[in-house]
Amino acid sequence: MGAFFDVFFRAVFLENLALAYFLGMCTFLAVSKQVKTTVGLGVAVIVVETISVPLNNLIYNFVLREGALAWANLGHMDFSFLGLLSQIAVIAAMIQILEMVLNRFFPALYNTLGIFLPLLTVNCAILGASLFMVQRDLAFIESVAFGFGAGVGWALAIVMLAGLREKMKYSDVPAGLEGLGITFITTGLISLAFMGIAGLSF
Amino acid sequence: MNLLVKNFLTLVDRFMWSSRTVTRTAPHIRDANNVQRLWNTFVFASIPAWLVGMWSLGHQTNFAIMDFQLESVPGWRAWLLSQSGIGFNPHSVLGSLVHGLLYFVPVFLTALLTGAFWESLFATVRRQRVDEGLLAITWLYCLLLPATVPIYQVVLGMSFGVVVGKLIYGGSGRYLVSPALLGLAFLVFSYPDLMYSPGAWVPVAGYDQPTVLELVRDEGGVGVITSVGYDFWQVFLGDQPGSFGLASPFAALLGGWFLVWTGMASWRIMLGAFIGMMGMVLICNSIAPNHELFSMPWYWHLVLGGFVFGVVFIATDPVTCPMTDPGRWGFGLFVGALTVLIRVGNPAYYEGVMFAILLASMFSPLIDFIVIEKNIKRRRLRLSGGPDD
Repeated sequence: MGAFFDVFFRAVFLENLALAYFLGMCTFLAVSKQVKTTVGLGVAVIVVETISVPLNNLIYNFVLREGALAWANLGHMDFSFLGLLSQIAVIAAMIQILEMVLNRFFPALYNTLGIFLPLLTVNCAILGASLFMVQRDLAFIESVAFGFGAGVGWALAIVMLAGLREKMKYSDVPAGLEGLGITFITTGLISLAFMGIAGLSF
Repeated sequence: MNLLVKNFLTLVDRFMWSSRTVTRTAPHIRDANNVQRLWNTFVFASIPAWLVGMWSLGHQTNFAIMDFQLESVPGWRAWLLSQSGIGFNPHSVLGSLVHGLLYFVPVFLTALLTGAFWESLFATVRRQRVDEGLLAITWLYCLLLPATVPIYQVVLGMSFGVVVGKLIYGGSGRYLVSPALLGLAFLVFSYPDLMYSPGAWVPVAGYDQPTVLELVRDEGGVGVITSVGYDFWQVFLGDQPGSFGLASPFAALLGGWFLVWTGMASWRIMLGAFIGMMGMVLICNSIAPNHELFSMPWYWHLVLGGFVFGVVFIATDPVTCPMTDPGRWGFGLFVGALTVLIRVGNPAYYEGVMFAILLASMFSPLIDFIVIEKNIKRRRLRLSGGPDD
């Protein structure tokens, strides 16, 4: 349980996908104007990350990695070069299925997530989390924690940015920096603030 | 004579701008306050902390000189001190004060000049009025710096703080984090040695005098504080190594009282931070009563580092803290709890309060948002005849 919490904590605060790796920036900058919208988007990211990272973990460990196919007497095969492809396919397919399931059984949640769900197919934070999972060689239970933590961290970051941007409606930004420019700088400031707790370990 | 008294009273009134008459309906004009005066109150309130800090710095420095039995101290400060006959006596209050001031004044003037340069540049190019609050930002920024800070770093930090922290957001009242704090954070992340090296606090070459917080961290446990010879009241009153203005929690508390009395800073934030700190310390104590950091009692957490100074003067910055009263409680609790967490848990940047405030001010619009949404929901319920509260 300690390891589970540790992976989660690291993914949320120390190795935040948006603020430490600057992943998923297109959505992060484009959809962060209002807190209410970002809450919906954040929930969508959490859901997708929590499902896609463990799913990719299973596929990688039981099909793709070198010697993973030993259960089918194909122990000499190494399909890890297909990793990126399969992960994108898994994410895209999973989001389609998730969308249909939500539409059928949880229409309220489906309406909240709205357009963001299909958009997440091309969000690099989602793919990035799966790639990190492979790179760090996480076990299945850790990958659940990591997926959930990465989603929560990203959601937290975008909600924070949206809060600041709502406050910045009153700001008087120089003409050249208006819009995306000042948003980039604000993201940098949030990132700087997160650096203060970056070394936290217990 | 009458006029003189009247003018004097007006002056005092302008400074304290209190009025006992309360209007019944909106709009309410409470007093003749403005942004400039608000910031001046912050400066005024931090003067005790500054004076004690100056004395403390000079005292430590003179003590180091006495300890090393230096025959001739290099540098223009020493030349001034020996020429004027003030000398290097650590027991002389005036001598220590002047010695400390000789370190503070160049830093302050440099920072003020740097800030004034950027402010006037922006005002000229953008054809706007020069912004208020520069003096207070510079002042707080300098009080947060250690005495050994090189002048070029003062310029860098001040430039970053004022330009990125304040001017590009449109100046006073519109920034997201306290520019003074941002300047300091920029310096600490770029030059960690500025605050995280043993020789950082006393400006005598080769004299390593760690702050009490560093002692606890590096030497292992609370026991070492008293065994080295510090006692609680000495640290509380301000005889400890540290940044220019951070030596004396007592003086900072005095300033805090003044700010609350004049209504310039929110007591909710200060009290919230104290409660948050207490709560987190009690949790830490009960989790690991034998761990050398976790077991540190709350009254040491209170007086170490810049906790009181940060909470009183930086966290209460009326621009970056939340605007709603429940939000301010939450903000304070967050700052206090996170400070303790960083102190016990972060081996790299253990001076927690500054980073806690930095992070908390990033959250403050969000805290406000939550409070406002809750209010809206409650009122809607009340309108629709739902469960009353």
